[in-house]
Amino acid sequence: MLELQDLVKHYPAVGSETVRAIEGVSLEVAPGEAVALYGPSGSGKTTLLLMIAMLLEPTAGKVVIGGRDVATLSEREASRFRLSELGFIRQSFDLLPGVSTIDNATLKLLACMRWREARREIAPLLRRLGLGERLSHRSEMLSMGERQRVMIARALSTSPRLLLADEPTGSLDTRRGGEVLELLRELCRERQVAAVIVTHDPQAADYADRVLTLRDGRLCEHAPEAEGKGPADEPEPVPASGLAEREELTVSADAGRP
Amino acid sequence: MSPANVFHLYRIRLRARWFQESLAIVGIAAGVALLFASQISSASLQSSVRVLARGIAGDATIQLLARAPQGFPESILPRVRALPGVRLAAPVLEAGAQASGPRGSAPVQMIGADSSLSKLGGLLVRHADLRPFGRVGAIALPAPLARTIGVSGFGQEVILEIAGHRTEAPLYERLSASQIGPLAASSVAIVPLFFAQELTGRPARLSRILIRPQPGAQARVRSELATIADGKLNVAGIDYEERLFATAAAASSQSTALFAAISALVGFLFAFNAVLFTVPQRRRLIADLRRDGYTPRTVTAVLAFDALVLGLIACALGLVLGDELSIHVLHSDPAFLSLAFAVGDERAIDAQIIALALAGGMLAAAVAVLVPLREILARDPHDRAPRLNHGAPRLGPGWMALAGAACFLTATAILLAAPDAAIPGMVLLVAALLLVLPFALRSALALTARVARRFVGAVPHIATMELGSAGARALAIAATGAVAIFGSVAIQGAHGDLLAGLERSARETNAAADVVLAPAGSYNLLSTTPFAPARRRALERLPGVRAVGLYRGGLLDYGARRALVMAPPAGFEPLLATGQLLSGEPRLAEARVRAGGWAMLSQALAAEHGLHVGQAFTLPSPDPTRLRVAALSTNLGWAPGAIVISASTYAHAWASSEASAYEIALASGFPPARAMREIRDALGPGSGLAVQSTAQRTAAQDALSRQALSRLTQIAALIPIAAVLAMAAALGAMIWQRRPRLAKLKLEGLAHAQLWHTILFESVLLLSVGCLIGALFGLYGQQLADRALAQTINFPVLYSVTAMTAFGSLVLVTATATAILAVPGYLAASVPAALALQE
Repeated sequence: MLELQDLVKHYPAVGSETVRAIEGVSLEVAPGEAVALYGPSGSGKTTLLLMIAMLLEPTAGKVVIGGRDVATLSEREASRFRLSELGFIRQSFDLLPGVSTIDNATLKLLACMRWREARREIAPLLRRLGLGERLSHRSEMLSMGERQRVMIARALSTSPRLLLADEPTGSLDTRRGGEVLELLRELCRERQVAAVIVTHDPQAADYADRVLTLRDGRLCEHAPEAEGKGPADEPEPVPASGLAEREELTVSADAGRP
Repeated sequence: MSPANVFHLYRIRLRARWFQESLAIVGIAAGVALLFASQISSASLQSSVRVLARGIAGDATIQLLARAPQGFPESILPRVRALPGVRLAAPVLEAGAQASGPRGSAPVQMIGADSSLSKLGGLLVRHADLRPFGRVGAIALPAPLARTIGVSGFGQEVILEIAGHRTEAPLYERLSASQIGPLAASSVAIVPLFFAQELTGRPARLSRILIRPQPGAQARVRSELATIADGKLNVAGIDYEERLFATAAAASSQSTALFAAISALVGFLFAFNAVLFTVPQRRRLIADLRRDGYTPRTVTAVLAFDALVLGLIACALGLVLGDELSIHVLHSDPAFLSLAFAVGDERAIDAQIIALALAGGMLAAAVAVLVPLREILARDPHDRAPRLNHGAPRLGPGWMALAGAACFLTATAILLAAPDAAIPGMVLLVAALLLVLPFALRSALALTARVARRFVGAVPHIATMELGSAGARALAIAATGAVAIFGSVAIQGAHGDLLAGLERSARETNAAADVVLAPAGSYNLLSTTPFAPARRRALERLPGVRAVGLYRGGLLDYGARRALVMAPPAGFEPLLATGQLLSGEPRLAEARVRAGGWAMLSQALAAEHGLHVGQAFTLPSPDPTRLRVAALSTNLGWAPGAIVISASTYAHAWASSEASAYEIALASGFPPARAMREIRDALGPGSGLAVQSTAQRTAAQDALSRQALSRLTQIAALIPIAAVLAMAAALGAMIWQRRPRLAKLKLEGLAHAQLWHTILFESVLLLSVGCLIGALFGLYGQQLADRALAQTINFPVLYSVTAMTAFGSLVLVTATATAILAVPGYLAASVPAALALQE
């Protein structure tokens, strides 16, 4: 389903230096397969996701989704492709405040069908995600775990073939994080969706079919025992200055804790 | 935290939020500027009357005044001077005149005086030595006025038109601002007393005597003067003119006060919109400070410092902008009131006006900055959960709408029962509007969402969801538009209704004659200057002339009002503008007034003296006359009020056979243009009389009405402009701040065009809801203002519902603001989707 062929991304840095964010990554993810991708900060995880999602052009190599080289897509086609073929899951803060669970979940579907049909379409999935009783609740009335499940519903609402998840359990505690990962695995298998989950969460390994580590822009098999400490123990840098920035970063650091 | 540290913290934070702070400064400055300019504009006229009165009277504290332009005998002067307790008495003869030079012409208040006036020390004549040209018959003019009409050199001739005479006077002196201070901006002409008497054709007559009593002799002198006055002259203080002017300018002052209130509110909402963008940073700062152990007091001090800096900079900018605005846009035009008062056009800026503008600006800054404080300080400092619903009102929209309905009903009660309380009524209406707005916005969003459900497409859905979640920000932007459109529609509507009413009144009062001859000059537009009607027989003999009547009219101080007395010739039909009657039977009233001994009074004037139809009263004319009230009317376009009597009654009450105009009725079918030509030929050059057809006279009066109401026109135009800029800036900033969220939507697969359309859809929806509510309330405000103008000031208002104008304003403001937003919206929609992952 997803095929990365010798993907390279270099950024120009200060002076004549080049940052080698991704260095010859090749990967295949089959339909229904979930791949967990670990990596320390700055290892290139986000860059890799951006290239898969057609938001960043590779320096070299190819991204092939469903047999189609995404480099051949125009911007409009790429948008349409992301709408129908890709699902994105980020942290739960992406929900619209003051908007009901079901309306938040139908956000993508509304682009291609009427509201009533969209609600009809999404309702079973929300029930499947345990939100059957919370359909009309506003997002701020939901727990963090419930909010993340709404994000999963939104991501899967258009029946995508590929799911990209960026720290999907980042703002959840261990138990809720486990529940979310379990649901993700089940749904991806049921719907034959290929999933790439970028995470710091060590328990993600238990729910993924394959676990990989991205280190210095290169992919390698994940070997937690060889790391000396779990991926989640990777500390975020402490902010150097500015009270505002410190709070931003403190939230992330808190969120990364298991 | 020490003050130095508070300042340091402010400085380092400013780097990250200079744009938002700048917007807030501009917002508050706009409000301060509008408030300041309107106050200057309002205070300047009142101040100019005061300054001019003081500039003439100097140390005088009492005056003996004539009740008519004919004045009183000069022989009274030695009697006054001989009174025990009188230290100094200076004679003055005043008359309205038209001064012309090579470059133009201007109405002036001619002041004839002798050297005794200089002894009173008034600024106007302190430096002008009246003696040297005392026997020459020359004129002194303020330098700006001399420049306007184009006379500059000593001895250059100034053409003066006074009371139907046209004469020339050499320029003796140009009075500069260094000599007479702010009076240099006044439209006055100073001439020796004997020359004034010669020019006006009133030898040995005076308009008033200014008296400086000896210390402690004030009451005694007043009492003695009353004896001399014998009920035929007025004895008054020096502030007499000022008090009469305040009544005459009441309508203008009220409109300015309303404008000041609306502009201050628009400015505050602008500022509030801008400050809302800095709330997330302030919220984060407060949370950090609380977490680090700082007390609520310290946090408050930090925010108070923010408000102080914001307020001070914004106020300074606002005062500068307001000053410019008062010079170039809201300049006081005294033309209308100068027909009855000596008014200058200098600007008056006193400490009170500056203090008011500063207080308004500082209050706006304090409220805008400190509003989030209460909520934030109440929160647990360790509560790190993201706030998804910040800014949502505590009171539900339903309850707010109910409170709004209560305000609306109270405003309606004011409309029906106490129209003079128009300003509180307007304030209540604005409060109702703001309270109803959240409910209206929510309903509009629900309705749009319901309609959108029938169609495929994410744009309207996302737009309504985004607006629904925007909370206080969206409301503040909609409120800005609503208040601005409210003000604009109410003022514009009332302005139109008043203008229509004034035009109708002018048409009706001029309906009796076909051609009017009156002393020339724009100072005499109300035909209040008397002259000897020596040409009546000659006019009657002209071809096409059916009848020549003598119209008499003048200004009469009655109580606290300088009323306009109109006395049409009895043989002309109609005598009364019966369309202006508010009480009384038209036919009977007309018959009674024609017969003499009866008068039609403005309702407000009658009410002030407790008069009803049929009741008798004494008209305080030069020869006080007992009259009865035949009917009550509107003020016929003259704010202080009007009295209509027959010309013969007027002649008796004024003890004068002089006329103010010839009214000529033409033979049926005779062309007015030809008749006017014949009349001009018969009069010859230099008659000093202007020949006008009824249509020309009505048009001139309409033009004057429009000029008098020009400030309302400026106000109605300024508010929407301010609102468009405010809303475009606020929406633009809101959209720009939403770029990360737009990036997330892009990540979900929404294309650039869809996002841009969503932004535009949101803008149109938000602005149109705000503006629609504003327009609806504005139409109601128009009725409130109309009723206040009609009932309180008695203006001849023609009620209307200017729905199309309101709709036009709505569309114009919404379309303009959206058009301005299109570019930042497009740029915001171009946000790279990668931003969502990099955040």
